Amino acid sequence: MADRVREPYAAPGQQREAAMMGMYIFLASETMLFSGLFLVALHLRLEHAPEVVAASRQMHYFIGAANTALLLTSSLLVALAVEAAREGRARPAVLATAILLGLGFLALKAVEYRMEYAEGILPLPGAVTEFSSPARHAFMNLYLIATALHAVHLSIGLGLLATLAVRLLRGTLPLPERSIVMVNAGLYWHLVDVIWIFLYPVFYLAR
Amino acid sequence: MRTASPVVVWIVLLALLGLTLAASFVLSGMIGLTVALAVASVKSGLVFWRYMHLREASGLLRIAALGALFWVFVLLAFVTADYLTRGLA
Amino acid sequence: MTLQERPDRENLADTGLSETPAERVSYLRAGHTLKSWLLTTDHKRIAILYLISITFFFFVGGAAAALVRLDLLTPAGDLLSNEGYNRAFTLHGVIMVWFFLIPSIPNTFGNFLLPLMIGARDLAFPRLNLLSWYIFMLAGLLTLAVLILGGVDTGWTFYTPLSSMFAHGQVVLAATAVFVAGFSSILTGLNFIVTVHKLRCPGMTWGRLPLFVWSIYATSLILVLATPVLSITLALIAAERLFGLGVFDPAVGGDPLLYQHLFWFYSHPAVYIMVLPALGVVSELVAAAARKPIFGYAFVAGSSMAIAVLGFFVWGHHMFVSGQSMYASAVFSFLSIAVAIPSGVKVYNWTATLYKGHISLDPPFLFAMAFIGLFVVGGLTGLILAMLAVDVHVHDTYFVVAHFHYIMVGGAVSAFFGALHFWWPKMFGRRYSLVWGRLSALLIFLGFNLTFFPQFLLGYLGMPRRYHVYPPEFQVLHVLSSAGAGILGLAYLMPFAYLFYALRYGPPAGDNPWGVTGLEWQTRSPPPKHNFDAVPVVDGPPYDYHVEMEGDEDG
Ligand code: HEM
Ligand SMILES: [Cu+2]
Repeated sequence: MADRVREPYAAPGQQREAAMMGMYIFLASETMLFSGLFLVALHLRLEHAPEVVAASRQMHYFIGAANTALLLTSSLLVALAVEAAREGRARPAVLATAILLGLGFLALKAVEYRMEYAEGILPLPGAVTEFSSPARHAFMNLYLIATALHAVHLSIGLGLLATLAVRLLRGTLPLPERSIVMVNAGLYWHLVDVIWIFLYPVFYLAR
Repeated sequence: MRTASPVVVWIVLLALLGLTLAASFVLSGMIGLTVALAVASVKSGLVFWRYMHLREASGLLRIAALGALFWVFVLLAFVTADYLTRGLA
Repeated sequence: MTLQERPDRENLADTGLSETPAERVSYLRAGHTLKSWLLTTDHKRIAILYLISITFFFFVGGAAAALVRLDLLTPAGDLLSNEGYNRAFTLHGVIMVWFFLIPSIPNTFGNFLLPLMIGARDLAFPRLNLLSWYIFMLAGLLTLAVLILGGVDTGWTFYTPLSSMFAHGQVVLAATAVFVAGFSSILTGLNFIVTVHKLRCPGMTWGRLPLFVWSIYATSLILVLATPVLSITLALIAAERLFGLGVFDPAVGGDPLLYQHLFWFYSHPAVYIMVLPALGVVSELVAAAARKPIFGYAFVAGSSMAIAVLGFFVWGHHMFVSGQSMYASAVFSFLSIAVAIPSGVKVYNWTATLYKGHISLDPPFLFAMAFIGLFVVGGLTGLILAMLAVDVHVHDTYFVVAHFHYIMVGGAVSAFFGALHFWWPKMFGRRYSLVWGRLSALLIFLGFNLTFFPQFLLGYLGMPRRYHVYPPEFQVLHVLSSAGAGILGLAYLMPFAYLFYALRYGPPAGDNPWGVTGLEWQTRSPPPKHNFDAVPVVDGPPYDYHVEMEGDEDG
């Protein structure tokens, strides 16, 4: 690998490993962030099982499944683009498709929110909601917080990918020397995917 | 091979998505929860292993990437232990 | 290419260092404009930026404390309104915890020393380091905004449902400030961890790391793993207050105790964020004071790691009377007592290191001795509090207040001043007056004890914390405490006079004014911008002092 070595590093392998390690640790902290939400979910599930199951049955689990598939596919594309970058090939189109899938996720999520809003189960401020029990209300509160926080992360990831796609198109990202940038953005994107992989069963499939 | 394998992983991931969805119609209660979380863990494991480069990473990087899981476990386990033992005399 | 194979060690122009002659003289000379400071990526300059910022917050937090202590002079609570008193102690806690203590030693001395101690030219991510400081300053500005807009009254713990449903003040703004400061913590911790793993110079094996580096490493683990949990917890409070999305609100099926679990999952480890770096500083100071290798190096290093990990298993000792299951309480009680073991290991090993040493009584070492004594008192009272049955009686009394101030103020702040006095000549290249240094160490120790020892008695007698109207029989002890606080406040101001004076008029320090070991003492004072002219190579153990044996001739 012919990475450009910069201070304070002395060797390319060292610099590369440091950059990846930094990203992994950042993702570990993201994991801890979401673990707080999963704790609340687990607590609700254990303390109020029937209400949680009833609330979860009302969710549009096919939309959730479709969204999972979108994210998994986008992860595949990002992985392919990263792999190509490491071999020195720029694949802006692949990256752009991944971005489109991510946008598709957000669009579908918005549609889903609208449906839930209409059904009176989305506790947006000012919304008219009907919950047959307090715990169902808490569950939907948590659902809204968790999915919104996930959407924020997804949007940041989209921003990262879009910047990289532009740089690839313009040729301002020397490959494979600076492929580490692609690798790290990819890592972030995959983690957003992993978080959704857990959010999906927790909120949509509680039976 | 190098480009084929991410695709294979993707196919497995989609299959697992189908599996967890199907299981949710059949299973319920604690078993359902366990299966759903187990499938999610396998899916995440695949993503980490193949897409997030743990396959080729050094031991140090693997620890950096997965070490936090231990702390997630501590948080969930201790709090759960509190709630589950509240009612006992 | 590896470190050893750097092209030409003698000729710096050849190694890819873009260095000017001024940078080669000292990092302080490398640019005098404001911009050269505000856009620096040099870890040493960033350390100075932090030093200035946290000193500022130390005084803001101190002013709030002064108000609290003044109000407590009389049983009637006539200085502040009830609301005003609540706001004063909340602000004091929030600022001291998140804007002084947590960043104090790691972000100033950690930043300054970590690369120097391991023979690196900078941290792993220099620009990220600067970003951390800007994020920290943003958080600081938000806190000042809270202050100007009327403050908060929830206590530093932000307990629900008080914070989410009843408090009137700027809860969301304050939570945002702490949330933002958390980002800075996480990024700094991440930077330190990667630096220790990836940038040690040749020969700097894990077994040769200075103990300060071990403690900063352990601290960083906590920063990275615990802080995000606080972030999400504060975000949940904000969601409840702003959008009515309650998950702690019992009215919608939530549980306030869940908040306490999440908060203390962060905040107990966070008390170790505050004290672990202090333990590292004291290990350095003790070895330097005794001129002896540290006794049981591996155990002292290992105990830092043990504290960092075990510290995650004890948070329930803050919830003994909250309605937590009594089985959980018993387990947490037992585990809390276990944490005392690694803390005890450190104290015993310091004592053994000092044993038969020619102990120097220069100012930094006086601060270190003060630390040891106060830390022992704080730790032992921690044990008392960790006993489930005892804590039921003294929970939320001044006993607890005294306990944590012995560790956080008596301990961590003394260590901070010890570090300041020890490394000041290295950071600025000047010596300061040792007489004044000794005097301020002494006054801080005395003032501290006079302030906080009466609080143990108050708590034991039943004075609850966070009240400003109290029965008259407590007044004598409260007056003693307030008098001590006055002495302590003045004593804290003293170093600023003679240290600043030294900046201008102090004699040059020389590379190694204390005659101690450690890579940071082998480069110039103040160090050049790139720390070392040539990357050092380590070939011996740390604290490699010559120990005089009986029968030695010279000495
Ligand atoms: C030997 C280890 C320690 C033990 C066993 C211990 C034990 C305890 C216990 C049981 C409490 C709860 C008292 C109550 O609220 O009823 C407590 C409170 C506290 N401790 Fe410690 N502690 C230890 C070390 C430390 C250290 C090293 C620090 C700080 C650097 C610290 C800071 C605090 C703080 C801030 C509180 C009060 C929090 C609040 O309620 O506002 N402790 N400690
Ligand atoms: Cu604690």
